[in-house]
Amino acid sequence: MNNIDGIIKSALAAEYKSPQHINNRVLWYADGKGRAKMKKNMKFKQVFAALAIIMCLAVPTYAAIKLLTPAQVAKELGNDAIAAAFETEDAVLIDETQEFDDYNVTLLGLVSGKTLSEKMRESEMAEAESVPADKTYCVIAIENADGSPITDITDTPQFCVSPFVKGYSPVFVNIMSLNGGYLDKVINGVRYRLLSCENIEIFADTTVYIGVTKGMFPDRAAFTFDETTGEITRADGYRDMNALFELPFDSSKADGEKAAEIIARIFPE
Amino acid sequence: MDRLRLEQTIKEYGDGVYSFCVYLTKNRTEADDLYQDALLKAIELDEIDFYRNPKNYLIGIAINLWRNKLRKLCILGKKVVNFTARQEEITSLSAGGNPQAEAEKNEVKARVRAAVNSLPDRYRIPVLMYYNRDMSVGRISEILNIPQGTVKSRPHKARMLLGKQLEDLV
Repeated sequence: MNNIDGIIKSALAAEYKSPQHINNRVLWYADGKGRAKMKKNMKFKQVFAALAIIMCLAVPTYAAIKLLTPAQVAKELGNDAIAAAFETEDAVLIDETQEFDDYNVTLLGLVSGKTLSEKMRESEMAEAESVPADKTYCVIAIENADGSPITDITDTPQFCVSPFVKGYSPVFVNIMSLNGGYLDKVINGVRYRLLSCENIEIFADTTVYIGVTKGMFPDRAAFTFDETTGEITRADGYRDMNALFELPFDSSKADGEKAAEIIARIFPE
Repeated sequence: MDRLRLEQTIKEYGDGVYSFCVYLTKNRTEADDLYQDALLKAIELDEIDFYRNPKNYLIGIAINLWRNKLRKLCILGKKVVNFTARQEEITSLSAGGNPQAEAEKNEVKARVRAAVNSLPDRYRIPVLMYYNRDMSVGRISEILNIPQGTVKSRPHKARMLLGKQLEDLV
């Protein structure tokens, strides 16, 4: 082998250690499949009982490690109208993950209700009336960073998922002042949140964010608000989870009048 | 799938397969995903022949998954950002007693890796398979679904391109 071959071979030698948490997760998944296979030779009643036991123990499947789509999450939470809304072209599907030491946070997507409820009425969907106008629905997924499944909501701390708007301090314009609410569910080891709040797409001519921190309320220390530029950023040196996603809204969907009404309500003179 | 065999496979070949994923994706987070997906796919297929070459089998799966993902990523624009405190842990498998020599060696490695990363994928991937995994021309041809003659010419062309970038090291 000539010298260049030797140099390339040496530089490309295997030098990285495979992550143990991934190896554990794969072996754990294989265990689940193995258990199901072992029972196949039993009689039908026993197979049924065994599978029921396995399901109660929440044995993960391959799908458990892949995240659901926003539509699937909405369906799991019992809202078919919002699920249908996520499958229209007005849905903003994002699928961006931010990783922290203990949790990974993925913003899966958003959809706003006003346009969609009109479309659903046009299509004569019976549930169209139940999608209120002027709301935004957002789906977030939270996973353990080490790959282990979340088995119950109570196994995780409280999380606050909040929209923010450039130009306005997160202390004032946030999930609470935007009349937000949410539903959480743990599905296949992942905690999903379906958030609703006033339609934030009306602010589409500026930067709109979704921030995620631990706790019931937005943590002031987690984000920095620049009073000059109005930009909101993750606070340097903040030692805990402070995910911040910028939303890729279409600026043509901005509604200055509606936006001004909301701001006037939040900042009464 | 035999659990003990799988565990042994991961123990013997996991680091090698993972290293390949790191070089292929040029990104630790993507490498994590790809490594996991390759192992899970292998379990689903349940075709690992533990007596032949499970390492190259897993790498073949990884390459195909990566190429499919690249096609999809172009359409969906998925993004992953890592804010963890995790450091790049390059665990050298050779014992080094001389810090200056180690530093020089690492600098050479970094330059070579950067040069390999700058190659177009049609050269870069066969180079990785040839130099990192010692795969035969036949095996590379099979996995990439390209003629053996093409496989032979690509590392050669890549060596010429790399030789120009790294001539001071040769």
